[in-house]
Amino acid sequence: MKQRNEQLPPGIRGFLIRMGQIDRRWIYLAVAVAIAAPMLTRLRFPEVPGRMAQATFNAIESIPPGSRVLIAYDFDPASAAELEPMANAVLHHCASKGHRIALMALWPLGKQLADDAIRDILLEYHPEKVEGVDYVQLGFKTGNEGVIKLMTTSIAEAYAADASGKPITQIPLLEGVRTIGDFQLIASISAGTPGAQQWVQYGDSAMPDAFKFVAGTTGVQSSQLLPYYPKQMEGMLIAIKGAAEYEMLVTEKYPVTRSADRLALGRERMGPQFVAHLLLIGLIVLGNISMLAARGWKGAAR
Amino acid sequence: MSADRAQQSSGAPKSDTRLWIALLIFGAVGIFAGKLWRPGPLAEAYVEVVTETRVLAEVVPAPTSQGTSTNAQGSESLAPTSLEQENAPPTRLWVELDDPRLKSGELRRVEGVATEVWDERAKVDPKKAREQIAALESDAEKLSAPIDPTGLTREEFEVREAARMNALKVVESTRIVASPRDSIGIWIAALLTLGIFSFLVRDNPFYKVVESILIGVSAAYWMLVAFWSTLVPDLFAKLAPDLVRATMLPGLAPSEHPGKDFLLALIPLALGMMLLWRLAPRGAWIAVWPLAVVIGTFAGMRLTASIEADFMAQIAATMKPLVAYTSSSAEGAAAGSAFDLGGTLAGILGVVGVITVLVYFFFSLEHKGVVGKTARVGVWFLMITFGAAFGFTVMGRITLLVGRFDFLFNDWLGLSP
Repeated sequence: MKQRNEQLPPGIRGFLIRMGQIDRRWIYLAVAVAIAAPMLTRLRFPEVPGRMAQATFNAIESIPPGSRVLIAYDFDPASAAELEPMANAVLHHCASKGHRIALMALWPLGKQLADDAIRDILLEYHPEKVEGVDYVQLGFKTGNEGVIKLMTTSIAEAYAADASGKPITQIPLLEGVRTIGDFQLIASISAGTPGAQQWVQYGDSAMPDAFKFVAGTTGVQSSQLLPYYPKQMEGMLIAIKGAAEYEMLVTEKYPVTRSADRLALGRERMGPQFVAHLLLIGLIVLGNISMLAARGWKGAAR
Repeated sequence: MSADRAQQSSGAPKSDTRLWIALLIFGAVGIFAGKLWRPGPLAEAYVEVVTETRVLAEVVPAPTSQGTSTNAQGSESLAPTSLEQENAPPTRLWVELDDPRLKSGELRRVEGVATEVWDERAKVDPKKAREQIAALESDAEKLSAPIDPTGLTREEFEVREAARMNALKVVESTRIVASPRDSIGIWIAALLTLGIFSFLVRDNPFYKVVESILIGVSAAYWMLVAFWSTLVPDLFAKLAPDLVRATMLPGLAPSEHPGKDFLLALIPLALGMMLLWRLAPRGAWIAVWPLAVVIGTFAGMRLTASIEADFMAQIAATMKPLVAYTSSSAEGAAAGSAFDLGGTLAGILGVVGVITVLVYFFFSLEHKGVVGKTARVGVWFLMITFGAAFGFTVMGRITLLVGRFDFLFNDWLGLSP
């Protein structure tokens, strides 16, 4: 390292070239600090709702109270940091509006996350809600997109009973519900396959005008799903940014008085996101300047 | 080459040492400062313990003289009671000890069956748990003092005293306790997280151990999921429902068409066994047939879905008006809606993007002249798309890191306010 530095030109150009050769682990440390500091100081920025978050909010808001809504927890703890905030907000929004909610999961661990949401959101902020009447937990069903396809013809064949083992014929919320077309809105909180794309391909396409469809997605998956908006998806929440915007819309209209932390997770996580993005942009600029400095120095040396 | 190696061998250890020292100092100072800032134990966990009690009860048969029967939910059915129904054993079910149907006589306890008692543990947020514990202690202290009878009639005193006793019973039955078991779980999760992070410094045995645990646990987990969510309910339960009910799923509902279910379940059983034939020393070709069924089924299913959702609907979505108005309908435009510059630009960009990218992927003509320039524009569109996708990926990955830090800072170190 010392030998290499001795060969570099003195002054600012040498410094810039040296910065381009920095050990990448210092960058990891800088990213850690950039994320930890705003978290510990609870740095937050105001959010301006984007078009897609507003469209998702409007879709849920536009159906009359008492409508049946199906929320699919198509993710697991690996992506919960990104998707749990929007799932919480969607659940709170539907419950506040007075919709009757059915929860299901195409991912095995999605069921546990839906259970947590029932405990932490539904029963915490809406203790008056009654299981079987206002909400029902259908649980996980194996079969990936096959489950969606089956539900377009018969929900009872996919889910003979809810997660607690009660036959769906005895659940008041599902009285008269034969297919997913009997729901007024379906929301898929999706981390991959099966998820939002499969709901569009096998659910929405089979019954194009039967229900409204909205999705919350991870950042990685979003570019794959963007072509479906707005024709096949009425609303879309993209990653933590979409969650933060939507959270703001929901909590402004339906505020909660106690332990509101679970409905502010998206906005809380946007603080570190902002600082980390600034750092990354700075590093990209610095890397390019360093490359140009090294190129100019080599050219001059020749 | 050899000079580079010499530099690496002489420079890398020093750089590593500095990094490890920086990390240790950063971590130690962080934890120390954090604990000064927000005192409290590490990996604090609480649970609410609710004691559940169930007794076995049976439905008391309703008098048959009136020709009606009463079910367990209390509703009456007018179905005539046959001799077979009269002779059938009464329906039994597990109910809570204070179930009102036991008091009303609709149900009666089955003698000789012990009461089942167990504790249900539900995780409680530490901050909320501390508040609730303080509130419960305060309530218990207040409620433990008897009501002062001064100025009260006997009836008023008795009503208030009964209410106090009931409230005290509720307070005493609510148990929010520290959970060492969950605390150990948090410690293990924190150490495993740090083990994965340690790879950022360099590959090391700690990381290897954690990586192996992750792979092993994931493999075992998926095997169990497949067994319990596919093999048991979709195969075994249809082939041998009584055996499955007796050994694995006591709540398995009886099938309406057991014979049909049995015959249909033989097909996946045969295909599954044929697939496993691949492991046999001879006749590996047999495994090709079930594979053909799987591939054929999925291809058929996906083809129709993709043609509709990803082809026809996408073409329709691309056909946008090049001049947009604030109201998307033609009537709105005719009625004098405002010109939408953003919508118009988005429409034009969409059409240009689709055409130029399609031209880039059109390889039957050499990319020269007009075709070459159009394809070049298509490349720019592709690059912008990849850049946006990368940006989304970065955002997603940072959020995952924030999620882990959130766990370390709040659940493990207890630094949340």
